[in-house]
Amino acid sequence: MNNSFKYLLIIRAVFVGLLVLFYITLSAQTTRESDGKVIADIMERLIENTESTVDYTDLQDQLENYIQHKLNINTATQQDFQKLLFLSDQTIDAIIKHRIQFGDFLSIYELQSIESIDENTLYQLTYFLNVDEGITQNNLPFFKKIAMGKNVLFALHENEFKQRAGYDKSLSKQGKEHYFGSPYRYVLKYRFTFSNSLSYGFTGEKDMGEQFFQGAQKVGFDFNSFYLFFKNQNHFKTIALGDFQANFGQGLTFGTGISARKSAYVMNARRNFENIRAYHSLNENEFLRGAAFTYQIKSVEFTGIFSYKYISTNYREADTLSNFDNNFSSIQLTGLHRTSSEIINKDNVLQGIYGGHIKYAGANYDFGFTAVNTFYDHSFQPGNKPYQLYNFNGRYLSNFGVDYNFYLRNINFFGEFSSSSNIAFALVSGMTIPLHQTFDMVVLYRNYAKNYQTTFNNPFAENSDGRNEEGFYTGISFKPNALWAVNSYVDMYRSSWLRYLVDAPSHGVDFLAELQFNPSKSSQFYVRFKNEVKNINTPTNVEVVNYLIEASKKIIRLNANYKISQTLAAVSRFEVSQYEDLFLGNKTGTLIFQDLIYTTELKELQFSGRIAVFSIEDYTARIYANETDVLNQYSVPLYQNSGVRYYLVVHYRFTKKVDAWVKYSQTTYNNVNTISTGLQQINGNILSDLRVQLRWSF
Amino acid sequence: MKQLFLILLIVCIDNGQAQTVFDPIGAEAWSIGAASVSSQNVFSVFNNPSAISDFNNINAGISSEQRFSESKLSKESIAFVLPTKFINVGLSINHFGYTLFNQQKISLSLAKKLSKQFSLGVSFSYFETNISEQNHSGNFLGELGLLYQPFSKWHLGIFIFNPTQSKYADYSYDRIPTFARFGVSYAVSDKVRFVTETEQILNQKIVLRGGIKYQIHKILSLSLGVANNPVFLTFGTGIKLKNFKVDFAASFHQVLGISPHLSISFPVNR
Repeated sequence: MNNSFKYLLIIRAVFVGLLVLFYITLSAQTTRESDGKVIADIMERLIENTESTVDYTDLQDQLENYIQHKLNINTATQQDFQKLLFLSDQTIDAIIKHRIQFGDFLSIYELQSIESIDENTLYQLTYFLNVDEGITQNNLPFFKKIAMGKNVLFALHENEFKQRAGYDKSLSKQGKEHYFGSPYRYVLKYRFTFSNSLSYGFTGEKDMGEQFFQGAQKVGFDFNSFYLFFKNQNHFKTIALGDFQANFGQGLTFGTGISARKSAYVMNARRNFENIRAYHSLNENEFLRGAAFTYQIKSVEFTGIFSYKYISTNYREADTLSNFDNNFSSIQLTGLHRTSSEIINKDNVLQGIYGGHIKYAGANYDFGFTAVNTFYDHSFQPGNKPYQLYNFNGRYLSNFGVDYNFYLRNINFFGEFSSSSNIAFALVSGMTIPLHQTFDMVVLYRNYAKNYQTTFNNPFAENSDGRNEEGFYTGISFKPNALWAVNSYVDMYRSSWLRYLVDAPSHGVDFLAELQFNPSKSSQFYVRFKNEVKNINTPTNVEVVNYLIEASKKIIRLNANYKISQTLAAVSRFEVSQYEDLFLGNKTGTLIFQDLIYTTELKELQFSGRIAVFSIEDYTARIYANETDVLNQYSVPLYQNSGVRYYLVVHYRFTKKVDAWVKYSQTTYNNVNTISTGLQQINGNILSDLRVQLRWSF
Repeated sequence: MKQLFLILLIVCIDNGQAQTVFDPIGAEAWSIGAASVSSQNVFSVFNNPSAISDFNNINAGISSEQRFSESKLSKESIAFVLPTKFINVGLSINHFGYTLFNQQKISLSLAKKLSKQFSLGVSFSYFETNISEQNHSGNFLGELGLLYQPFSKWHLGIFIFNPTQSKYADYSYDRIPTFARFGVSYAVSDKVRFVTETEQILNQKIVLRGGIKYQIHKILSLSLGVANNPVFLTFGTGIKLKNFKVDFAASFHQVLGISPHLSISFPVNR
C-alpha cells in the first residue's frame, strides 16, 4: 500500500467520524422516532391510491421485516435495495456508485456525503440499512440456533364497547342470523428468529363476533397460521413450510399478498418481489399453505411452490330437486366467520396450487419463466351476469409466463408476458429512465385481456384483479436539490369489457402531482393534488336507458410533518375532496387533523394522538387518512358524514423485554343517529375502539 | 349530412371542447401534449408569434394532421418566417375540414425582440368558415404573443387569441372563440426539456398540457406528453439534420383513437 493511499484512508476515516459525530449530536437533540412512525409515513405514501378497504397488514409486515433484518449496505445488491419500496433507482445507483468509488461504507451515516439523497430519505434509510457483517452462523446445530434465537410474543385485545345489532340475543330466539361469539377481537402472535437464517411462528386471530374455544371454533382461534422458514442453507436460498407468500416476475402470472399500487412513490411501477416470504399477517385469504423452496446453482435459481388449503366459499351441494351440480360462485374474502351462514361457508372448498419459477440472473439482468397450476375439489361457477362472462369457471387453471428485467446503458427495462389455460394473454412492459441527475421518469404499458384468468396475481394495474385492462402510465420525479421535489404521474386506462357496476366498456384517467419540501431530516411539507376521472353507471331508475357517465374526484392535500421540540413532533393536515357527476352534482368533503407525538428522552414512553374534524357531504367524497396504531396493526379509517375523531396511542416500555401499547379511538358523528347497517349497525352516533397489546421478547 | 353528424359527434363527445381548428399546430408541439407557447419553431407563427423573433434565416414549414385518422377532419398548415433587420415577419395559412365544412385562417405576423430576454409578437388574421357551399362567413381577428426568458434554462410564453372577441362574420351572433395560453418550458439539461402549459377558452373548462422531450441522439429525439379536457396521450419523434427538421407525432384519445401529425421545416436560401 503506498503512502498517499494510506493517507487518504485516514482522512476518510476522520471525515466519516466527524459525520457520525455530527449526526449523533443532531440525533441527541431530536430523538429518533419509533419504527412504527417511520413505517406509517412510508405506508401512507404507498397506499395513496387506495379507495377500497384492502388489508395492508401484509405490506406493513414486509416493511417491519426489513427494519428487523436490516440490509447490509456494503453487500446488498441492486435488487436488494429495490425491495425497499421507497428508494428510487437514482438513489440506489448513487449508493452503489459511492461504494464502488470509495469502498465499503464505514458507517451508515456516510450516506450523508452523497449529495443526491434528500434528508428525509436519508433519515428513513438509517432504519433499514446497517454496516454489520451479519455473520450467518449457519453451521450451528439446529437446537443451538433455537437456544440462541430471539422469541417475541404479541397478545392483542380489541373492544368496541358499543353493541352492534348482530349481538342482540333476541335474534337467536327468533331464529334469525346473528353473531355467535363475543364482540371482542383477540390476536396472538409468536415469532422466533435466529439471525437471518431461521424463523418460525404462529399467528392466531379471533375476529369480533367469532366464537372462541366453542361452537364452530372449538380449537380456539378462527384463524390459525404457522410458518417455518429457513434461509441460506447451502444451495437452498429459502425453504418455507406452513404459510408463505410467493411472487414471481412482475406478479402478472402469479403473486399472492398485497403489493403497492399507484402511489405517491411515483417511480414505483416495477415490482421487486422476494420470491418466497414467510407469512405472518392476518389476511385469511391472500396467502399459500404448504411448502416452498428456492434452490440456487450459480446463476440459475429454481423456486418450487406447493399449496393445499381450504378456502371459504358459498359452496352449495346439489340435491335431487336442484338442476345444478355441486359448485361455488364466489370466494369469501373477509375472513369473518360470525354467523351461521358465514360458518357454513368456512373452509369448504379445497384449493391446490403447485408450480415453480426458474430464473437466470446475470450482473444486471434476469430472465424468468413461471408455470403455476390451480385445482379445486369443486367446480367454480361464477354467475351469469354479462360482466362475469369471462371469469374463471371450472376446476383447473394453468398459467404460464416469462418475465424480464435488464439494464441497457442506464435504462431499466422490465416486464412480463403471461397466459392462462383458456388461451388468453396479458402483457406488462415498462422502463425507468434516468433522464438527468435530477430528473427521473418511468413509463409502463399494460394490456391484460378481458378473458385472462389467474388465481392470484399482483401486477401493476388500476383494478385489483389484473385483467380486462389496457393502460399507459407515466411517472416523473424531479429533484433539483435536496430540499425540493416534484412528483407526478398520469395513468390512462380502459377496459374492453364490462366490470362490476360498469355496464359497458369504460375508460378513465388518474393524475397526481405533488410538491415536496424537505427542510430537515425530521420535517417535511407537501402539497398534493389528485384527480381521477372514470366511468360509472347512471343511477338506476333515473333514465329509460342506462349508460355510462363520467365521475370525477379531486383531492387537494396540504400536509406538514415537523418537530416542535426535542421530544415533541407534530403532523398537520388539511384535505379537501370534491366529487362530481352528472346526476349527483357536486359533493365536497373536508378533513383537518392535528397529530402530536410525544416521546420521552429515554424512549420508554410515547404518546401519539390525533384530533380530526371532518365534514363530508357524501360517501362519494370520502377521505382516507392513515393513522398510528399499536405495533403490527394497521388502520386507515374512512371519513364520511361529519364529526370529530380522536385517538391516543400510548406505548410504554416496562423493561427491555416487555412493552405495552394502548390505543383508544373515538369518532363522534353529528349528523347521523345510526352507524353502519344490517348486523353491523350501531344505534347512536359514537364509534369507539380500544386496542391493548402486550409484547414479550425473550 | 352523415359527415356533419360525425363532426357533431366529435364536438359533443368532449362537451364541445374539441376546437380542432384552433388547437396548436405542428407535430413537435403535438409530441409533447400539444404544449406550444413556450417553444420556438417555424410553427410558432400559429402558436405564439413572438417566438419567431430569434430567426435569422428564411424558414418554411408544412404540417399536416388527421384528427382521429379521419380524412374529413384533416388540417394542413403552411408557415413562413422572413427575418428582416428591423422586425421578423411571418406568413401562415391553414385549412381544416372538407368540401361541406371547412375553415381557413390566413395570418400576417410581426415579431420583435425587445430585449435579450423579452420578445413580443402580433398576428393579423382573416378567418373564414364555409358550411355546405352556400353558407360562408369570414372576419378579421388579432392574436398576441410574448416570450420571456427569465433564466437561461427557462422560457415563459403567453398567447392570446382573438382578444377583440371578433364574430364569425359581422352579421353573426356567434363569436370566434377567445382564449389564452400560458406555458413554461424548462431545459433540465442539454438533452431533456420539460414543457407545461395551460389554456383557457372562454366559457370552457381549463386545459392542462405537459410533455417531455428527450434528445436521445444528436439527430434523434423522443417525446411524450399528456393533455386533459379532452384527455390525450401523445408520443412523438423528431429528426434534425442541420436545419432540416422532420417531426412525427401520434396523439391518442381513449375513445376516438389515434391522430397522426407530421411536420417538416427547412431553411430557404436567399
